[in-house]
Amino acid sequence: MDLYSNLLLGFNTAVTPMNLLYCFGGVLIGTLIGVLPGIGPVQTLAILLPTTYSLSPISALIMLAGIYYGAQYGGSTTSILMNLPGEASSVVTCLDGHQMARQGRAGAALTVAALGSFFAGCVATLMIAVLSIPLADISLKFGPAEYFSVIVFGLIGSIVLASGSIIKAIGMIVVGLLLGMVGTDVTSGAQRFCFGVSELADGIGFVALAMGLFGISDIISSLEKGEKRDILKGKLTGFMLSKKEFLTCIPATLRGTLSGCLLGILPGGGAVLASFSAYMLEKKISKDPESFGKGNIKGVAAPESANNAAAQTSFIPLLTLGIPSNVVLAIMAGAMMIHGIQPGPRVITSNPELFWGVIASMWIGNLMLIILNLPLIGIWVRLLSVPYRVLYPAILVFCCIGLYSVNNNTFDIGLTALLGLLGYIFIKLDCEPAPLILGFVLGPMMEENFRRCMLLSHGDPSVFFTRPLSLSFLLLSLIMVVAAGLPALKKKREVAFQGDDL
Amino acid sequence: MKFTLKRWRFCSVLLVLFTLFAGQCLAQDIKGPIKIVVPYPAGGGSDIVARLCADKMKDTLGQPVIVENKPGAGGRVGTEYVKGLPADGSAMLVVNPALFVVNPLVFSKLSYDPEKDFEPVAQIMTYQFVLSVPATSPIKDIKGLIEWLKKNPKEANFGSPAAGSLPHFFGLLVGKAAGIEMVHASYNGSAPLLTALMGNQIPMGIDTFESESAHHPDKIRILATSGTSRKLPDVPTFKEQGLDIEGVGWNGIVVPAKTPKAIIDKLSAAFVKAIKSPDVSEKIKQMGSDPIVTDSQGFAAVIKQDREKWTPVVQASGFKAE
Amino acid sequence: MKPDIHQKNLATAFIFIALGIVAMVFSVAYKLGTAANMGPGYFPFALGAILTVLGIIVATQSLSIPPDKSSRISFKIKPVLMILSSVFIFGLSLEPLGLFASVMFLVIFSSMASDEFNLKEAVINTMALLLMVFIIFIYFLEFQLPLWPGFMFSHS
Repeated sequence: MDLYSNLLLGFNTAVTPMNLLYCFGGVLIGTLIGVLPGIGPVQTLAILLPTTYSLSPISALIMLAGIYYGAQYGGSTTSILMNLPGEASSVVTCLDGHQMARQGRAGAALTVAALGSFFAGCVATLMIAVLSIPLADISLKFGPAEYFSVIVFGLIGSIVLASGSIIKAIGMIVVGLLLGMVGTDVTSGAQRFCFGVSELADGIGFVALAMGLFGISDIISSLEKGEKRDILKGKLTGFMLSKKEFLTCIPATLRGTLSGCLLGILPGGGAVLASFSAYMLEKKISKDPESFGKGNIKGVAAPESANNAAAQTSFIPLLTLGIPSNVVLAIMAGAMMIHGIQPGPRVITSNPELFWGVIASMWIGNLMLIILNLPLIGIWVRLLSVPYRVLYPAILVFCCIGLYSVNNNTFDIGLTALLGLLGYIFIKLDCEPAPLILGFVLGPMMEENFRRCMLLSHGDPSVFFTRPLSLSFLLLSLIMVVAAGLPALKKKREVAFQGDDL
Repeated sequence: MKFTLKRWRFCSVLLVLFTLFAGQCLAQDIKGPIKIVVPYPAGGGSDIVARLCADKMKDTLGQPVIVENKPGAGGRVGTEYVKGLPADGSAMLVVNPALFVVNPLVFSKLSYDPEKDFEPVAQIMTYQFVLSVPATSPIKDIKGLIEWLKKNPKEANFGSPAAGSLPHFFGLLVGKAAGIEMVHASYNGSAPLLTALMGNQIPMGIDTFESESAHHPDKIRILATSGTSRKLPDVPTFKEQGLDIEGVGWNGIVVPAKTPKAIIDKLSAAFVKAIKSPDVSEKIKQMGSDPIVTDSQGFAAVIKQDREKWTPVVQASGFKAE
Repeated sequence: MKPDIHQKNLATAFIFIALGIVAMVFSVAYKLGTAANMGPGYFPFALGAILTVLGIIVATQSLSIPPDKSSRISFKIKPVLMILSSVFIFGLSLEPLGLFASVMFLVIFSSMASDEFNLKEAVINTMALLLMVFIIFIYFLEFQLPLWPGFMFSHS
């Protein structure tokens, strides 16, 4: 095991002035673009990809990787300040992060997000360096049965996200699952709920859904209240964390990092599952679960570290097996191919300087991100002092341009307006959008894997219980249901007893 | 003297400008920048090839050539979009057998007609299909596969990157030639299929060579390739192994119907030149495809031939997208 | 002035039941299939059924939970209409009229949704945003966006 010499090779490659410059350029562009509402890593990478064709493969990949996690990072800023998640994995950051911002604690929320992400990034980078090959093998153990069970686990857990009625939260998950069914069915190739509109054949885009349910509906209800400004104008004190906050965040960050590192290697929903489950875990083990969703700092620290860790470890399947686990990484795989490098296990042996160089640059990039962002926090927070009547048209402009650039199609813009109306109605009815988003993202995967599993087993559902990994996730889900049910029963009993006393 | 020299110079500049302008007007019958529309997101195989070609063609044609991505609905949105663009050579579309051969057979209401709405310009590359099994599988060749399938009919499942894709139908062709009923499981693209094969979740998979690379010898074993000649020196074709089937996928360029013949010929020549340039050929080979290029007639013949070839297979499968 | 029913829950129940029934009706048209070989309609049908049941539960609850002030629905129509229509107008005008015109529409119309609307400020905001959009998307990122009305120039 010559990890030391490998890392040395990596750092030697990554710290050449040229590569440092590209790394910095990448994280800077990524951060700035990620901050723009409605524009996330997917569009950014797709658009900037051609400009990297002329670079050397290493510089190109270093820069693209920098854009990727820079955009992820900038996206957290938008989630916290404007309640606009750039991608599914930052939906949970909105829950407590934006509440903190409304209470004048935006600076603290951003600082926690930055520090948590940096810590998680460092751990994840180290993990890629040491464990990428065995971890990649674990991700291969996930067959359709395991996927189905882990998604069931995630969906059941997401009920914890609800701060209001549990029945309504379950209903919202189901609505999300149904919205996820729109489009071409992977298993049969049939078009469902498309109503003859070919733009719907790929399903509802995540950006359209998030911008509708969070962006537009939030703007409408803020305008209606006409009071949002006062809340934000309040005290903008507390840029930095108090010592107590810092200490309470350490364990949350550690747990978030762990779930991010582990779930990030799962192709597909890794980062989403990671950030949602990190949040769920914090809320579950907290002595004060009521405070989540109302600006609990742990609700920012845990999912932020989880999604950053997952963003890094999601490189593992690409670098070791040649399998891109999400759309962003598929673009990266394209970038490698255009430079004549076939992503896969051979990369480590045939292009060691590329493999280790990219890994080393991830650490350097994370360091740059924190140096770049801590001072920027002050500027971002000041954005909130822009009058809302000036700010929201700007949000709309960026959202709309972002929506158009996903597919170079205006259909998504109209769709978003409709989803905005739906989101507004749900806000009015006290139905929360976060469970809907999780159902939307995981639903198609759940269906696909369930059906594939049943197809391959010729209709025998016992496969879900005979495979150990699948069984353990199902058991965990059962435990969660029971654990969620018990306190409710207990409460009822208590109420009953109190009734007796009266 | 001085004056005449000046005037002479002025006149000559004027003359040169004029000839240049006139020359432009005569030769350049395509207005403005030319765009190659890729109906898929940036970074995929057809996007990469389009960008490589665009880069060469702007020199050949002497005018800007840009690539525009118009993804959606497996390429149908972009195809519909180009159908409505002016037929003056300023817009081209990258197409493949799914868009031009399979879709008209499986969609009852397709928003375009490959024959009536478009004119072929050039075929720009081809790719073979491969049948592979997990490296841990006991199966070593096609003969072994057939024996194994006959012994384990319950395991006769194969994966493809998408329902209704050419690899899906090629798999049905394999089953038919081998006389075995095979269950098709579709994946959401090449990456998940590859993962399933590596993780031994499915006994075999069929995909294009481009994505299912030969770069995982310790995880995946390629049993056969689908071309008329070998793609990999040590992997025989289906034909060599006794199954009389072959087939390749391709990428080609089309323009909206009614584009003047002269413009088509000019674009076609530019594509042939671009693909034949050594660096582009090399890049295409590195991606696992073959830089096989034909002019407009050649491409038209390929489309016709493939239509005749796949129509019975697709119809026999009963596959319908709506 | 207590309303006699829990409006919010009743409306939620109505939406759940309506969506559930729509899903089930359409799913029947797609093939349902068998457990071994499920058709495209199987999952959405099951989900539609679950959603309908959930809707019925919410409806029964809405009758048993005593309604209070917070259970009443109240809304203003102006922000809803102005914001949604400004987004629609942007979508409709982007390709025929180009980015600059459509951004102008979007900013001006959406600004009118605010109670604090003031034309001068909205115009200044439009100018500033146009400049930003130009610098970020056109100059810096080179997005493929139609800039001007289609009849003036072709796509950039």
